[in-house]
Amino acid sequence: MDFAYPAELDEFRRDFSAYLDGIVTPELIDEIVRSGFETRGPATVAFWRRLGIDGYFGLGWPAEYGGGGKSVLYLHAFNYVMAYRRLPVPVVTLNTVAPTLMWIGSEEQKREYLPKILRAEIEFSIGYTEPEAGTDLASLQTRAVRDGDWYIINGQKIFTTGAHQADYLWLAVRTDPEAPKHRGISILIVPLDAKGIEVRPLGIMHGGHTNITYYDNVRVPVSALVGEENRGWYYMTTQLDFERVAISPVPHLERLFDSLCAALRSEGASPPDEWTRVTLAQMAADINVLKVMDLKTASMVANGQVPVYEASLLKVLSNEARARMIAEALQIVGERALVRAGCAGGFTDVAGDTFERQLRESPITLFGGGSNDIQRDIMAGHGLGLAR
Amino acid sequence: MLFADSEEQALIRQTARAYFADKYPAERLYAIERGDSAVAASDVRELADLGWLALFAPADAGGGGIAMLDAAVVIDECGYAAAPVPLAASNVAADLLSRRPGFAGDVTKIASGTTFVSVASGTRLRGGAAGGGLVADGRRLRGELRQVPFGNRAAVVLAPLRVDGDRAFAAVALDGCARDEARTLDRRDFAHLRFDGDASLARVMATGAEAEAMHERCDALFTAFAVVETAGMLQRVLEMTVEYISQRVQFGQPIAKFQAARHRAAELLMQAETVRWTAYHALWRFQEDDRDTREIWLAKHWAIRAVERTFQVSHLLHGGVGVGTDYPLHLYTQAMSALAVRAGGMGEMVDRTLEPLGVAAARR
Ligand SMILES: Cc1cc2nc3c(=O)[nH]c(=O)nc-3n(C[C@H](O)[C@H](O)[C@H](O)COP(=O)(O)OP(=O)(O)OC[C@H]3O[C@@H](n4cnc5c(N)ncnc54)[C@H](O)[C@@H]3O)c2cc1C
Repeated sequence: MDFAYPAELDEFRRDFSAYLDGIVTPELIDEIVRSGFETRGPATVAFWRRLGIDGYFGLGWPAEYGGGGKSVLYLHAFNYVMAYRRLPVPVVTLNTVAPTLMWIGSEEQKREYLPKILRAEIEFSIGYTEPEAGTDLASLQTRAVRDGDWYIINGQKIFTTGAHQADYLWLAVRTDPEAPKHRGISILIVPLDAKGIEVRPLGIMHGGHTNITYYDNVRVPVSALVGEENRGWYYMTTQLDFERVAISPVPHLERLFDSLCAALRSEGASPPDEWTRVTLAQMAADINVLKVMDLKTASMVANGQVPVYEASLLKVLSNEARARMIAEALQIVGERALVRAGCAGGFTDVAGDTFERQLRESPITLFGGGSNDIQRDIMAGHGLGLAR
Repeated sequence: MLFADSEEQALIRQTARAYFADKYPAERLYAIERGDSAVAASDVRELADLGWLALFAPADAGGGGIAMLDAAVVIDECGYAAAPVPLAASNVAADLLSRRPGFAGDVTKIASGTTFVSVASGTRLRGGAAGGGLVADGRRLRGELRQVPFGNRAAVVLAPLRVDGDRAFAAVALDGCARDEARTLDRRDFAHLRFDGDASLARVMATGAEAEAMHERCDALFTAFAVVETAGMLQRVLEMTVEYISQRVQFGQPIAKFQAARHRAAELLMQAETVRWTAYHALWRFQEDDRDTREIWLAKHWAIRAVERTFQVSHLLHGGVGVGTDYPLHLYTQAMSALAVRAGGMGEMVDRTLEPLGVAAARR
């Protein structure tokens, strides 16, 4: 055992924070807060370009793709600092698309997309979920039929987040309807301006919207195929592992905790009642658990192992803790915490976000990225070896 | 004993359910949530015509004169429909006014829909509804009240205040006070009221110990009705979820066939059922003896926890559909989470439970 957090990473966090202090403008914060932490505007795009040019998007990428060649722990630290400050990151483009392309993309795809991703010039939207294929994602039905040098795509996706402002879709399609359901899926890169794509907004409770997307005889060249045909399911599930490790659940909770403590310490605040003190102490203990388990998972990846039940454990613990802590934060702050952003008399956390908005956002992680009850199954199966 | 609606209550429930379903269908609630619609003065007058704004204030004081428990059924149904109407505030106000000689005229006006009277609830909360509270010093009335139900359109609010340093409870006219709309998690019509006007705006209903008792009654009733309204919401969330998992097919079968999902549905049942009966039982005790508020605080304490569990479980079982703004679940989970904070939060419930038992916090 060796628990020492590399000193160079502490240094990185400090330097990166200082760097952010220098480039995060009031206009950027204003844009983020006003959009309800949902849509990106010009200030956000400019911010991303800057991060890209300064090498932060490619921290963990191999040097051959213009990256910094750092370990996954740097990515983890980068995302941590960004999330604590509630700064937006083009999450799926950086954590889903880029690593998968580096892993199995064609040379042409790597040349075409990776440099642009690195400079924040293009963005992807993920098209996996369908109205009838959610938790049971492998039953997806959107079809891509080979026609000479083309694929012709027909079908419908739901929750295609960001499709209204992205450049490309990372689309899961069925290419072999005869094969068992996990073996007939492929990934295609589809430009969002292709003919036959329709994007319709679908409002969500924490503000802004995701989308429903329709595909009517959409044609893409066969060069749009990522990796091998019908191996899509394997790529999708492996990619989830990249994603899980890069993104830590802890910074949100630390921000919440720090915000509560700051409010209770602030001048004029009356001393907290007993329940508040006990609850805060419980939060601290929960966050400590998550911090340690998060480090364990990240270090496994850094050491070349694949966390399976470990990732599930972290996911279930963290998103249930998150939903609970936000409800408790509302209790601690009281009625002021119910006021929506932009209204007088409200309460915001250290990043300018309201707790009531965070409550409205909290359900998504419970079922998104693999429902909690499926994660429990994974722990029972992979973790404990319990047969079905 | 009968842990079920009486015939009378069943009838009230039926009427209220049909009315709210007709008047506040999901489409209208979505529009209110978006800010494209609001509960209008005409909607409130309709509630008056139904006799629902002063249900249990005595008939001889101008109220409806029904039992508190029967009145609660209407509020329960209001929760079931997620109707964003200030029924609890109005009924509590009518009750308080009916108990003071010289204020019966106000009850008549509430009942007829001429004057909407609200209450500043949860004033014991840290930084809660009362904000700094109201102070009448000599000729001036100053201070603020946070998140007053229907504060934008109310004519009067009942609130505790200090008059020349003494405790009082008063009916405060809202002419000339500044009103800021407070858009909140639950999108009910709340307003932040700021006063700087003539002290004659406040008609004192009680002072000293009497004022304190009135304040206590206000909080107890408001909290009890908040739990009853929560029970209505939990019931609807339970039904909605059961329906959803029975229809939603994944892995070739309805989700309701998976044991994990069934267990979670059972958990929703436990929450809805326990909040319902503890709420009504607490209100019944209060109806029998209005010094007996203990179960109200215990029921609220439990309801806060039940709401948190139900929030998580109902959203988990619904998946993405449940967070869509074109599906009603979020109206309920947002409204019940707000009610969990309003009308007394966890910290206050803990204190209220333990103080009378003489279990004091450690001195530091
Ligand atoms: C805001 C938002 C953004 C999203 N963004 C994207 C995106 O960009 N791209 C994309 O492809 N998708 C996206 N999604 C979709 C997301 O991944 C799905 O919501 C998720 O996969 C769950 O699917 P579902 O919503 O259809 O839930 P369902 O499959 O209907 O499942 C609902 C619940 O049923 C229960 N359940 C299901 N199966 C079982 C079982 N076998 N055993 C026990 N219980 C079970 C679980 O409790 C589960 O949570 C997004 C969703 C949201 C809400």
